[in-house]
Amino acid sequence: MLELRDVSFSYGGAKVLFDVSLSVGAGEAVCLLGMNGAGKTTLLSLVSGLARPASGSILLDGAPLPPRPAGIVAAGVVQVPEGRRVFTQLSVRENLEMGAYLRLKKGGRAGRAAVTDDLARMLDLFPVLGERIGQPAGNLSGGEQQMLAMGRALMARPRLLLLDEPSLGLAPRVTAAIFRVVRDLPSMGCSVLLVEQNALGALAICNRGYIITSGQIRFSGTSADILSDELLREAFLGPVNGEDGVENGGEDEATSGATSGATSGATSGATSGAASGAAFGGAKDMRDDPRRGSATQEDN
Amino acid sequence: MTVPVSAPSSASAPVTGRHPLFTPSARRFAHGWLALAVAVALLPLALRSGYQFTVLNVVAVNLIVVTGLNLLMGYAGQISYGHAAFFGMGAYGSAILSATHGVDPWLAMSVSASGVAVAAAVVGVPTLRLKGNYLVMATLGFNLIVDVILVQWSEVTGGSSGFVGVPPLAVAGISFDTDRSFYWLAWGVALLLLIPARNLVHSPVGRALRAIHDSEPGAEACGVPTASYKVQVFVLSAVFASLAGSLHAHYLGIVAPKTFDIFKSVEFVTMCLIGGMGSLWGGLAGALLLTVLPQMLGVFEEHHDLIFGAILLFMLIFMPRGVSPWLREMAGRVRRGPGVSSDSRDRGDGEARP
Repeated sequence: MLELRDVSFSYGGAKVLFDVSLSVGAGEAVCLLGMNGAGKTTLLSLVSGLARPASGSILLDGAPLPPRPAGIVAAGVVQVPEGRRVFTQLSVRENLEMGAYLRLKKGGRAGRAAVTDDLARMLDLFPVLGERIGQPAGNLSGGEQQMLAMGRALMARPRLLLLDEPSLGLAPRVTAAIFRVVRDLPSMGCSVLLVEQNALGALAICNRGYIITSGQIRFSGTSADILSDELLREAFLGPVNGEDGVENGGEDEATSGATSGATSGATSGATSGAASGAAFGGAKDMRDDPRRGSATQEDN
Repeated sequence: MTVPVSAPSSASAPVTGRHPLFTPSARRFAHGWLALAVAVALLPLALRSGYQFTVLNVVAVNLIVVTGLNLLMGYAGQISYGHAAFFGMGAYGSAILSATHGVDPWLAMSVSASGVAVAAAVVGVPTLRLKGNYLVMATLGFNLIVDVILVQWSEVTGGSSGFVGVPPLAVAGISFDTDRSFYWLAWGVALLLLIPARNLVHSPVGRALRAIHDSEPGAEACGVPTASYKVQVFVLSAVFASLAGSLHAHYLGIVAPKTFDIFKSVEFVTMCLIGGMGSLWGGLAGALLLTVLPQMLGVFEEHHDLIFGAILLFMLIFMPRGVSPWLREMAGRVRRGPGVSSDSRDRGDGEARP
């Protein structure tokens, strides 16, 4: 469905993506794992059309990606931006309806009826939103805002949902709830490309994963492969058997941050789920991706 | 959150897309609009002097600019300190076309508005990529450039002493050349322009503009072409300013560059802020207050810019959302009893706030 072929990108002179190839098939949930500054968000912004690759090609169903973000949304590829980016002054309901903006604009009685149905479905999926339907989104908690951001994206009826660190800054319980929804999306006809630092949680709900460091894909495989690979586990997912700070030769120097940052609690519960500790969480304030800046979350 | 709650009744209400003229909020607007129209129609009975008409005429002209500026600032969240330039371009365009070239005033007015639309698009495409302070600086700079041109290009514009002899607008032999007759024209236009502004605000496009105000990346993610919407609303608000400028020129018969400098832009922005950004009625309040008050208080005349600056600062610090939301909040607070802030919210649970 989505295919990136040898995509490179640089901000000014600094190259941040090197010949990245990646694909997401229909009905698949794929995660892209890596630390801050590895190029994860940049890669997503290339797919959502906010930036253009310097070289390489991005194909959607075998054809080149539409040039503008609006065209990409219309083609069924919708992003849940990092840091939620809900419309704080608009009500929860208006936020959700904004998600269906292109569908409503195209108009028609049938189209509006379908949007109304979808709105009800979103409230089934995220019942908390129903309780706050008339409130400004700025009144919602961070977890609720994340759910709203996802609901808003789903209102566009995407075929492929791009999720940028949905677990960022959320309590484990809320993260688990969000991951449960993400897990079920492929069966609802929506493929997922999930960017995460919470590697264990992401692998637990995705079929396949890619590991990216310093703008290069270092490993790709099924979630089971990644989880069972000793070296990868140690380098990216946290020390085995609770040994802190185990380092691995041969890997990029950037990995050491991940390893030492990993919590030792994230060892055994590899498949047990979403709520496990954030494996890449250690480097949280070392954000150097220029698109992020203060974008993480506005505290309303 | 694990307990599925059946969707509340409001969820089953139809989604937007009903024609903006047939919603409850449209009815409320219609009532307000009719009330204003009646007030405008009856007010002349109470007015004695031509001077009072003059002041109200200026209110109407300012209201047109502020209505347009509100679309840009209050709804789309893009600040412009350059609207006096568009106001001036409309005024000088009308003046030069009708007085120097003998074009019919109405035609001069529409040609000027079209020219301003093109100019606004040219200015808007690069500047609206800027945000916050940078957008302020860019629009301010644009206003300064236009101001310099108006003063320096004296063989066409009349230079710093101004341009005299602008013919009045006329319909079927009736000329709007007196304070009293122009009152009907200015308020008629102002009232008329409120209607498309209101409909735009309550259309899906208006909601997209508010979404841009809240989060541009979010709006982009929803498929809103944010860059082109921002330019479009900038052009629209510039056209409002241009129309007001043309009215101003044909009314006074004289235009002078002093009326279109950056301080005038600050004045428009202050009117917008005072009334309450994102409220068309607030724009009326702002235009009325900041036009009438300076006339009533003699000190205003001399320290005009100083006082506007002070008001602007005061507003930004104490009522950043303007008078009308502030009044609404105060009213709510009084109703609920003291000590309860209107925005006290019950936060969701299970949430680690970063």
